[in-house]
Amino acid sequence: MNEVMGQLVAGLAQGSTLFLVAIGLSLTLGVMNLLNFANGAFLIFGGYGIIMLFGNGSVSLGLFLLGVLGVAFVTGVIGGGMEIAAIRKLYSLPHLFPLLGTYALFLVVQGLAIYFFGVSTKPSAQVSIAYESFEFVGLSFSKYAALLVLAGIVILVAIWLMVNKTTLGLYVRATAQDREMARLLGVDVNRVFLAMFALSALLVGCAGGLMTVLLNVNPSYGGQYLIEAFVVVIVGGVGSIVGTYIAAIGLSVIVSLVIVFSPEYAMAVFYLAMVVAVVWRPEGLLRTRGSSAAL
Amino acid sequence: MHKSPARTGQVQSTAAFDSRSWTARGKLAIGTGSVLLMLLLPQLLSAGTTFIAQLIMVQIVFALGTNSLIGHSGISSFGQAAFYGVGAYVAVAAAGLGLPVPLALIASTLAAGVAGVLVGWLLIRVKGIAVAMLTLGIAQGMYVLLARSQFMGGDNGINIVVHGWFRPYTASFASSIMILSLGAIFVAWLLFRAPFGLALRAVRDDPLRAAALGIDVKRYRRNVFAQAACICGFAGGLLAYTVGAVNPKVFYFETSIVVVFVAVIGGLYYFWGPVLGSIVYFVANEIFNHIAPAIWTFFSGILLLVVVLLAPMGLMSLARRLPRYRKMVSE
Repeated sequence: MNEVMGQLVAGLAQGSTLFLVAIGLSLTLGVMNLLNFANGAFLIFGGYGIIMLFGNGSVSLGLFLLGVLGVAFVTGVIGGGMEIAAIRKLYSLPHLFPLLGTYALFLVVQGLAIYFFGVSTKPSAQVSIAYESFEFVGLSFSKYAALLVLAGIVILVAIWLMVNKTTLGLYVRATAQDREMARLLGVDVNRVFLAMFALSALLVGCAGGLMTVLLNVNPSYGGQYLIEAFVVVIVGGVGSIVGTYIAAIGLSVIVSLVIVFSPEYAMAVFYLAMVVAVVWRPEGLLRTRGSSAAL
Repeated sequence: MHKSPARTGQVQSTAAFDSRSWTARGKLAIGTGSVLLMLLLPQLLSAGTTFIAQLIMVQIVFALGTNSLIGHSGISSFGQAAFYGVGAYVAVAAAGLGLPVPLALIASTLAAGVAGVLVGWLLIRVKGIAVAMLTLGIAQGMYVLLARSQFMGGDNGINIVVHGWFRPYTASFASSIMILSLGAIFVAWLLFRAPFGLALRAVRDDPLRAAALGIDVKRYRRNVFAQAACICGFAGGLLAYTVGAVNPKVFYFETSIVVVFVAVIGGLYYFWGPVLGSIVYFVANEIFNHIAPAIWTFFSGILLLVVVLLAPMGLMSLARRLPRYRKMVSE
């Protein structure tokens, strides 16, 4: 029982970081119809940013979180710069080309990481609470896992409010539904795109920073999470914020629980769930066939 | 009613990329010349260089199969590694049962085709860019399944046994692999030139108009998906024989993307684009591996970025009248 609870919490924590990557992907995909491989680059920025800040020493939680926010902000700015310098020029071409543009940026950043840090794994900073746990209803939970779950919920609510309750959100929804009509009605679509790209870079950079506690940082750090995020977005439904959250948490928890019984096939279950979801709910978990609301 | 798309002028114009100036005799000479070259190369080159030439030939077949989807049919499949990998693993399994090389390769092709039909059945449920994500997810799923299990050698992979043909890893074996690749290239070329290929390009350029002309868009897309899977599976079988082993890395997402990469740098809308792209990419890769392996990833990213930004129709387009094609793409 204790083992199962432990795995459940680990799944929730994994799912929360996966949600940050997936929501970044989902925003650019839902609003701009852009499958953003540069998210792999933003994960690298987040991970190596934390390594550059703290090395492999030990660091207090407050300082670590401040560092993650700083790194995430810088990643957002770099992401915005990439959009202006390169990706923006590709929107008029078929969707394959902006996608490959972002993949090229991923390769460039991964190449820089290989050049400057080498291919080997870098030990990351020890955060004071990473291995501490607390008691709750007689069971012990990892404090860092609880923190990740909390961060996931805060960001879910923040993004939902931003999209549904603010003027920027209105522009975002209009652009997602009909780019040309939004443009005609006076929405600066280019700026909405820039905002979405930079925001997704910020979120993914944040995830990259937070994940240094759980994972080793190396140049292929970005790749695996990137593909898992694709699966989450497919299952949750493109552009659906709540759907993405449910899919990220649900899939990660399922995988963590399967690990208890069959460690070899746990990750395969993750991808099998994708196939099942596509057959059962091709428009995403929260959508019925035919509804086309974008966000 | 006649449904042949070749009857309509509109569809014909999408095939303007073919070079019609070559005579039949010229084509025959080039074909014979390339077969002779494949026979000669392994005799002239060192074993290491021959191996690279073989790999490039196999990659060309894989890239042509993939490009028949992304370039010529407008289906953004980013998971062709799934079929490449199925082909490679089935070749190993068939060879393990004692089948000679040609039969093992046929088994690879057919198994990948069956996988293509199954995946195609899933794909009709999603649209546009979700196709890229779903196919990528399927290939990556195959990777984690094999890499973390004990099936067929698990993460370490498994060696292939060569039965009933030339002695493996001799010059004549290398020539045979390369001539088989040439055969696959020829088949891909015939399919590209056939009315079926013309119809697919019509669907890519304007699905609604193609449907109005009497082309069954869904059926054509399903068919080309299975056909591309067969070509990629055949390439996978050739890969297994070339390398002498196969491991789960063949399914990894980078395998799928590199093949799109080479098609794009060569020129997506041209038949010969992936051929040129594969040669440029893998020769450059080899050179970098010798002089500066640490900066290859960076360089390949810059190469892709420059091509996508400055010549989205690839290196082939530089040799032809660029503005016309650029306008065609941006529409």
